[in-house]
Amino acid sequence: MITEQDQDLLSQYVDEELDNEQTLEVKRRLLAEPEFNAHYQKLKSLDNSIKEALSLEDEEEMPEEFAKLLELDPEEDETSASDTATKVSPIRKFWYLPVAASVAFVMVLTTFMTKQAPDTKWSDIALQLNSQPSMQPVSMNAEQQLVVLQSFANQEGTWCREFMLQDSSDKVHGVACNENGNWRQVISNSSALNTDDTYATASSNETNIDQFISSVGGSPASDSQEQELIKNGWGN
Amino acid sequence: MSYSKNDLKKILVKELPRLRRFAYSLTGNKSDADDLVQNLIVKMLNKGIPDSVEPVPWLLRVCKNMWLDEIRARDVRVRAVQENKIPQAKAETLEEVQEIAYSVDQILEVLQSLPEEQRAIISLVIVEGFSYNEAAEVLEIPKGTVMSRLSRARHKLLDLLEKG
Repeated sequence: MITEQDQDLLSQYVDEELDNEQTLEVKRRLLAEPEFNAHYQKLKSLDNSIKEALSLEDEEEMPEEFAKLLELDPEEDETSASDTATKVSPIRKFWYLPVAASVAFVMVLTTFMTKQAPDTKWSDIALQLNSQPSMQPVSMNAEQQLVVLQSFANQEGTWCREFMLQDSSDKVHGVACNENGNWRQVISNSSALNTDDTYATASSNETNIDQFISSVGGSPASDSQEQELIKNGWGN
Repeated sequence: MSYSKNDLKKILVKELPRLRRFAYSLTGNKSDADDLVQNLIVKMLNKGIPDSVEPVPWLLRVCKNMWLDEIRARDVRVRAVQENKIPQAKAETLEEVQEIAYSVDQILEVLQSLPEEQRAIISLVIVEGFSYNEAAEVLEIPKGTVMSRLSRARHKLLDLLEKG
């Protein structure tokens, strides 16, 4: 059952109005709760349909009656026009990004224990990290499925991706960062899945990953930004 | 000092596609939308834009207020969604849900059932990509109101589309 609170949460998620912590929580629920995910898909479809419905085929064309009204007066002083050009700034885009803890990235890397994902080769995972959008599960082999949870820039501006690799009994939850074009796993934890096949929440392992992300993370990528990064090879 | 006529015209030319889309979302038809934008242009060229305001939110706000004045003057009531006119969109599984795409006619039909304020929020946030803060500035309402009205509007639209 989707509650009113869930509706508000997903509406804000679709509009990218949630903070990092809330965004991550929603992403985890999307993976674990099919009904929650189904409602999210409906909202996305609705938004796309609204955008399509409210677009004007001729919106870039200037209707004749407007052109007449908006014709520039050649006698008007040109200098005042150029002065105004500086006043017309686009609306500022507000980004509210939490300030991450001031822990040096290199020090953090050495602090956390890293574990290699089982069965699937790292090169195969790296391939998917390079090209797979967040929240779109992909099968790595007959049993294992990979889901990228989010992309974010660490304090040094290096792009990192949080991922989960799981099969019927185990999951590996980790973070990899793209260094000079190569994806390097910087932290991972593995744990058995709950018997009801949903991801464990707030276990000590999960907390480690969360702590790690909050200590190194600064700027989570929006969906559109992530698409651009995938297209452009993660800034390399 | 206020904007010169030519400065105003340049701003209006630049923002014309956005103003037309916004007007279309408010009026629900292209002819009314272009009439509204034309009246907006005339008003702006006559009265100007205060120097102290951001032009884009100001233009959108005036556009919305002009439309509210217009419908009050016309005594036009928002028409209710006609029953049985919207084909039902069925979705039994997640895979099917992902493939839902409502038709333009369906969307325009259900949008008309929303109050102007909710249509304006939809246009600003969903179509124009404004943040809640920016939409709140244009509509002169609190950010929390933008959030709740948008969420209610989406819920109502989905409900109407699914009930058909």
